[in-house]
Amino acid sequence: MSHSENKAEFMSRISDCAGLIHKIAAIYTDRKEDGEDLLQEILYQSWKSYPSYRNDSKFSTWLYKVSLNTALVYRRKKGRMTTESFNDEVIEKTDSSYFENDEKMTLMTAIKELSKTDRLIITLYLEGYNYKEIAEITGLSNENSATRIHRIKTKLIVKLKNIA
Amino acid sequence: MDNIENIWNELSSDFNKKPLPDGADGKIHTDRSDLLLARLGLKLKLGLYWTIFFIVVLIVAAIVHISQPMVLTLIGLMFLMMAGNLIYSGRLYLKIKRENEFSLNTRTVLLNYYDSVVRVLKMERLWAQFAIPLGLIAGVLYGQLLKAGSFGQIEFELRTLLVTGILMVTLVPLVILWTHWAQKYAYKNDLTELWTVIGELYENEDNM
Repeated sequence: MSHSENKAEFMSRISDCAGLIHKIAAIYTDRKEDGEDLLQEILYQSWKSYPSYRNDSKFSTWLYKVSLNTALVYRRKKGRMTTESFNDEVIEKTDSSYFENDEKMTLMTAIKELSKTDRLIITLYLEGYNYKEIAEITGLSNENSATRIHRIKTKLIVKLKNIA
Repeated sequence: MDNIENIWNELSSDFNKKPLPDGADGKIHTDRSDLLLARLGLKLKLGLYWTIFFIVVLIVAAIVHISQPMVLTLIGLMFLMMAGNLIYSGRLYLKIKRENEFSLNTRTVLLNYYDSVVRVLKMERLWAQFAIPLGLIAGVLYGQLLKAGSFGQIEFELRTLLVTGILMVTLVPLVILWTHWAQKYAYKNDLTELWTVIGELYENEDNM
C-alpha cells in the first residue's frame, strides 16, 4: 500500500471515530482552542502510531489508547485567554432539548472535576470496557483496576449530587 | 449508575454527530507535534545538526593546519568531543523516537515519556557543564597556538591567563546556573504534572 493510500485509509477510519476523539478532547480540556489543539495532537500521534495497529483488535480500542495517552501528557498552550468551552459548543449544536442538555452538561462537568487519571478510567468504563480490558489498556493490575473503578464511580455519584 | 450510563450514551451520540473539523490533519501534513517531548526532541535534533556543522568546520580546520601537528592534536581532541556528543545525542534521539509509541499501555507510555524528557534535559545540562569550559580552554589554546606555531613555543601572557581565569570562574558557573534555572523555569510544571499523573495512576500498584 502506498503512503497516500495508507493515509487515506487512516483518515477514513479516523473520520468514522471522530466522535471518540471529540469526546476525549472535551473531557481533557476546558477551552475551545485547547480542545482543537488536543484533537489535532491526537490525530498526529495516531498517525505516527498507525503502523503499529494490527487488525486483530478493534480500531476504536486502539484509538482510545492513543487518544487517552496523548491527552494525559498534553499540556495546554500558555497565554490563552478565551473561556468558550469546547463541549458547550458540541452539546449546544447537536441537541435542542434544554433538560437533556442540562443532564449531559452536569455529567460532563462532574467527569471533568475528576483527576486526569480518574477521567481515563471512568471514560473506558462508561465506554463498556470491562475490568480486565481496562487493566490491559492502562497497565494496572486487574484487582487495582476493579478497586479504582468502584472508587471513581462513588466519587462521580457524589460529584453529580453536589452539582445537581 | 445506570442513569449515568444512559446519559453517557446520549452524550456519545451527540459527539458522534460532529465530524472532524477542517484542517484537523494539519499536524500530520506538517509532521509537527506540540507535546513537550516533541519540542525537546526537535531541540535535540537541532543540536545534532549544529554538532555535524562543527565537525565539518573542524575537518576543514584540520585540512588547513595539516602541517602543524600540535594544532592537529588540539583539533583532534575537539573532534573527539564533538563525535562523542554526536553519537550520544544521536542514540538518545533515536531511542526516544523508538520508545515513545502512544499505542502501548498507559503505564509504559507515561514512564517512557517521563524518562525520555528527563534524559534529554540531563543531556542539555551535561553539554553546558562540559562543552562550555572545554570550548573556552580549546579556544584560548587554539588562539595561542596559531600565534606560536607549537605548544612548546606558547608563551602565555599574564593578561590572557587572567582573562581566561576570570571567564572560567565567572562565566562558566553562570552558564551552568542559567541552564539549571532555564530548565526549571521552562519544564518544572510539566514534569511535576506528569509525575503526579503517574503517581495517581499507579498508587496501590505493587510493581511500580
